[in-house]
Amino acid sequence: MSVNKEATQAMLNLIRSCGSIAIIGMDKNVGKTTVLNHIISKTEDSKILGLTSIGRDGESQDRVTKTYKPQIYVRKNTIIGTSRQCLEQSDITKEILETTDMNTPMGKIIIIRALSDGFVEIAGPSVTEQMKIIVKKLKKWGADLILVDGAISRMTQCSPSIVDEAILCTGASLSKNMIEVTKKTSHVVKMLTLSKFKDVNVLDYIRKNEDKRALFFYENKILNLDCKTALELSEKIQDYIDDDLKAISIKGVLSENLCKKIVSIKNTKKTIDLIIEDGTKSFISEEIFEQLSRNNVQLYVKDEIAMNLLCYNPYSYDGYLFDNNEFKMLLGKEIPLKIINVLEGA
Amino acid sequence: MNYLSTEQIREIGLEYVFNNVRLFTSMARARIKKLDFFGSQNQDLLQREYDNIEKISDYIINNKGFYPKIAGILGKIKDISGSIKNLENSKVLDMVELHEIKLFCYYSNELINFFELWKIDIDEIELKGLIKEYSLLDPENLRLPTFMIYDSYSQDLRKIRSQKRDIEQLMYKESNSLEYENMLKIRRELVNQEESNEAKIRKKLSEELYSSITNLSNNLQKITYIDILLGKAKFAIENKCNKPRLLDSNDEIEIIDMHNPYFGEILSLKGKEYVSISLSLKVGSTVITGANMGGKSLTLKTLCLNIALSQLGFYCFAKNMKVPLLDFIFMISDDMQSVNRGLSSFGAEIKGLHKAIEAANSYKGLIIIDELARGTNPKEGRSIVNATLKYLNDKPSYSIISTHYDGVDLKGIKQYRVIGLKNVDFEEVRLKYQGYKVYPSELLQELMDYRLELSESSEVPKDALNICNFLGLNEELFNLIEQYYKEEK
Repeated sequence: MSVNKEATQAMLNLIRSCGSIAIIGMDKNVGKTTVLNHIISKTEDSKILGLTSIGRDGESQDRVTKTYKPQIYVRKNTIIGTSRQCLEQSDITKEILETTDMNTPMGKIIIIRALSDGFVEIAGPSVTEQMKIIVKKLKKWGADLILVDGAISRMTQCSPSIVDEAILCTGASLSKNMIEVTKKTSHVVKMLTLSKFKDVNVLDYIRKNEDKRALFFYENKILNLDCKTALELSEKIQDYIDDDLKAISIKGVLSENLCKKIVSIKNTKKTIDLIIEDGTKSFISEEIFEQLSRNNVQLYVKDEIAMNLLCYNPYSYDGYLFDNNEFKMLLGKEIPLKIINVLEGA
Repeated sequence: MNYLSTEQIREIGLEYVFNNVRLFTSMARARIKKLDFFGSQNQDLLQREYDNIEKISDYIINNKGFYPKIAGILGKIKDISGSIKNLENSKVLDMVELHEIKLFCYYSNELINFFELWKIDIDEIELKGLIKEYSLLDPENLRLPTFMIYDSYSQDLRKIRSQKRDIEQLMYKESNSLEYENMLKIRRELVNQEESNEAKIRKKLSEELYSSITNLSNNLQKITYIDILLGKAKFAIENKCNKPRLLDSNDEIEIIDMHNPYFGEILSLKGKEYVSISLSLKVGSTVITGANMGGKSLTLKTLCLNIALSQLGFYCFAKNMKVPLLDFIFMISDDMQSVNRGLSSFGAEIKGLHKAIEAANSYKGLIIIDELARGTNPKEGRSIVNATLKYLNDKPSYSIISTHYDGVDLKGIKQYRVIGLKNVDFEEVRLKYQGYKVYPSELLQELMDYRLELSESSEVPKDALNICNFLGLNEELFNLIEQYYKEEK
């Protein structure tokens, strides 16, 4: 089918053009590893892959109880950032390149080179700053394309400061109700693909004042608010909201509490632009998001996440299966991304 | 053995020093906080430590490339003590451990070459060559900073891996899933063989490294020492610290223009400067008297810091310092921790005093007591001060006690007095600040002379009255105080 072809082509283009891709699963068992294996198999032999993951994403359970859990199979020469304990679970011939000082519950993060093809277990760092360093190290050791195995619960590590592009994976395992899955996925996509704020001067000012928790842009002035906790921010923000306020920039997490506070104080008729760092910082539900737009609060980001591809898995390991065409159509109607069935694609 | 509490280590600025010594290895960072006094029996060792700092300082100052180069090597060295322990217990090392030992050998050898190149002649930093050990872990002489179980370790392994590669190549091209499953089975068998072969080799390598345990531990220890020595030297240069002169055991401790970088930093934030203090201490008791706010506590803490540094083998924050080797330092000050533990501040003080005296009865050290018996009534307090001074005066330790009580019994005891407001011309100040209702509070600190002078008078200058005046105490009350002063005279 031409639509599927188009999506497959989109994936191939990504593999060719990106330096780093995060693969984010909406849930366990949505076929993230299948996508990962697919990308690995589609990468040209001349390209060296780098591979790491965000933490461990609770996959060990699957390893113990079930056999269907697909393993990651890498090609020779892949550079891998994983924890010490995972080395023993990996059956490639390995070369130890570097030991880092980053500790995880599964031991220190080690950088290795695969000297043969084979199965690997990956558990990378779960701290954003460490992930940045690991991605750099993988590059330093020669990786041309870096894949970060990510999870929705730790999405901040897929922010544009770390990877060039993100692929979202969703699937039947999220809920038995197809409409529910689509709704949930659609909301996450909305958050992750929030558009970049247009005023370059404002963005410039935000970049120069990155240490400030919140900045307030008025008709004729700019104020900043420094505070330690999100709670403190929600408490103090009311002093800053008036009819002259044009835009607010928030560093760090955007909480529902804060949104509710803003909506309750502001003049409903005036439009306020709310700028967050990037889509991974938004922790608000669909209801709150709608409430914001109803009250003329427009959500923007400072840094856009490149996300063009949604992979889905119509099969749930709990034993049920969505109708492929119906599911795909539903997703396609709600979500403006190229959509690909992981099982067909692989 | 020193007896300073964690709290005191922070308060006197010793923690500040530890945190500001630049170190490159995790071993040195752990070690520096556990450094101990050299002790009165080890004069030669402490002297050598100072001399070593001097030698390294000379290299750093006179050769631009020296410091960055050695820092670069040290920064790459990891703590292999865990692997050494595993070797001692005849455990088989894993690949990560072997990799770390390989790098450790490599950088050990780099350091040896570096010292030879610069002709550095310090016994304490002599490392053992680990050429044999390095070659063991680099059998193909690749000289790479990486490690693997090399094919050249075993013909069998080479064969297994080649078979494994072949089957993987076939698997890559195979599209028939049944065939693929079969190949997967064959590969799994080869993986098992590879793993057991690798394990055998790791066992053999671990056994061979067993005989190198002494050299590895020796180098680990020496590298830790080198890192700290380099840190001490660099710190001394940057902070203009000076080499202490070691005295024979019963000579007078002499310190000229000592200061404290920790207080200096805090004061500089307020736009002020720390005033250098000079003093000397004889064996026995010395007392510092002076009014409140005369900086006695800071002076004692600065003394404590500098003596502690000298005993830990650091250069000192003083223009000139002569000091003997000591076994301990005891400082009794307003120690909030003991108070938190449920003792009243007086109770904590007396407990501390008891411990200090016990130490003084068996070892030679320095006892510093800030405002002894400050919490008691002056009559009892004075008696406690006098008795303690007299008791400690006969001990072979150096004791210094500060007090704001007057009437101290000075028989055989050296007294320093804070110069304080003694030389201030109050008439002049009054003229200058005419029209001010209250004097600015900083003025007091400006006028206060924190330096010490020797004195034989047991009367304390009445600076307290002047301070009350400066701080703008209620006029009626002030007049009343003045009246009482006159009556007592």
